Amino acid sequence: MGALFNIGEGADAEIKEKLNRAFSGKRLQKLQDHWKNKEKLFDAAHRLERFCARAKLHPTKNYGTDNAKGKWYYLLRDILPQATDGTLDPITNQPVMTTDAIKAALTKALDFVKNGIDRVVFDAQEQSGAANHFIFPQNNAPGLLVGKTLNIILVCPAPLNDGDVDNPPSDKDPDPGEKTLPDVSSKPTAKKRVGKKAKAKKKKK
Amino acid sequence: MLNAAIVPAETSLCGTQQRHRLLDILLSEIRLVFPQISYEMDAKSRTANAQALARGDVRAVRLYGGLALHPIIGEDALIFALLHETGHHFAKGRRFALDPMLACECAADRWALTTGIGKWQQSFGRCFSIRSAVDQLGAVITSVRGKNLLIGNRPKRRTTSCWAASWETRKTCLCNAQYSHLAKHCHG
Repeated sequence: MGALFNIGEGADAEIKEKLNRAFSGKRLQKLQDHWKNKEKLFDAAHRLERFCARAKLHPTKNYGTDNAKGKWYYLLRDILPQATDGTLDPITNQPVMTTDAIKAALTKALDFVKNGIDRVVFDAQEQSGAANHFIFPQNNAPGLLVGKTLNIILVCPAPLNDGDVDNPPSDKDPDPGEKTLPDVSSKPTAKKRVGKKAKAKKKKK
Repeated sequence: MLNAAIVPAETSLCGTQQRHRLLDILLSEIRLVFPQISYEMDAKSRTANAQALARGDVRAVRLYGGLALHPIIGEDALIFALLHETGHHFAKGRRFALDPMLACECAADRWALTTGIGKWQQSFGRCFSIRSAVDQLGAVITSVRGKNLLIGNRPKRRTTSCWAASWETRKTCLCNAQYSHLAKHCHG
């Protein structure tokens, strides 16, 4: 999110980093395989909040009294499904909801055979004149493709309110047809450092 | 910007003609110095911050009203804010939050105070004091203190060695020109 100072935006950077990590490199390939062979992760029956809960894509760091995780799930569960920019779906002629715009963009990213996308970059920007949250440039054509990278930007009318928090859907409330997801949230393990002595010993051998 | 610091309602933002003229001049100058960047101002927002973002091929810098029109903020802080955000686009090295389009905080700061300010001064001869910029920005941070400063600034366990991660160390490094060391990446 490239902000001047990270007052308030520490959680934004954390979630952006987690999403960017999950949707790039080998992790994205695993998700693409999962989508192709096991489960259509972003079809109408699947929920974004359930996907994030299953994949552990939410803020986990301590932001003091700021419940960043609760706010993230409030955004996914309570704001985005009801938000639209008013643009119409060319088939149904109905306004495209922001949740569906995100699902459409992510489905595009997971269909490697058709679209060849190898990275998704997420961002959010505030636009005080916007009536609702929407995906840039518009919900019925969400995301910007540059080469093999899909850029998904959520436009927000204002920052989230502190009191607006919700919980992630639990495992007792699954989406239909769930299969175990590949690990897309854990950080790569650090390579073991080899000291000079050990290196010299190895050389001798 | 999902979790941003908002200027409290009791603080009146500075909507004077003089402030708007200053912003107009600074924005018109920086647009000429870095024409590759789209500089935008969201005057109605009370978010005390600025932001760099890439919209596909379009590189943008957004200045929010809570910062741009804050009564404590002056010319130096505005120059630094604009250059820091521009630095996210132009600085080389480590990337921010695994985003290949944006440089890390420390790299953006270093670019702002070396290449960025150099180019601006060369084109317009504008005076700039980092000490004054840092004082003004520090005062804004103090004014929005409360829940906002608990922020990723002081997590229970420090997860990064970047000097730009906390305002205190960042301030010291900026004022003493100790910004040559770049962290592996800012949000680890």
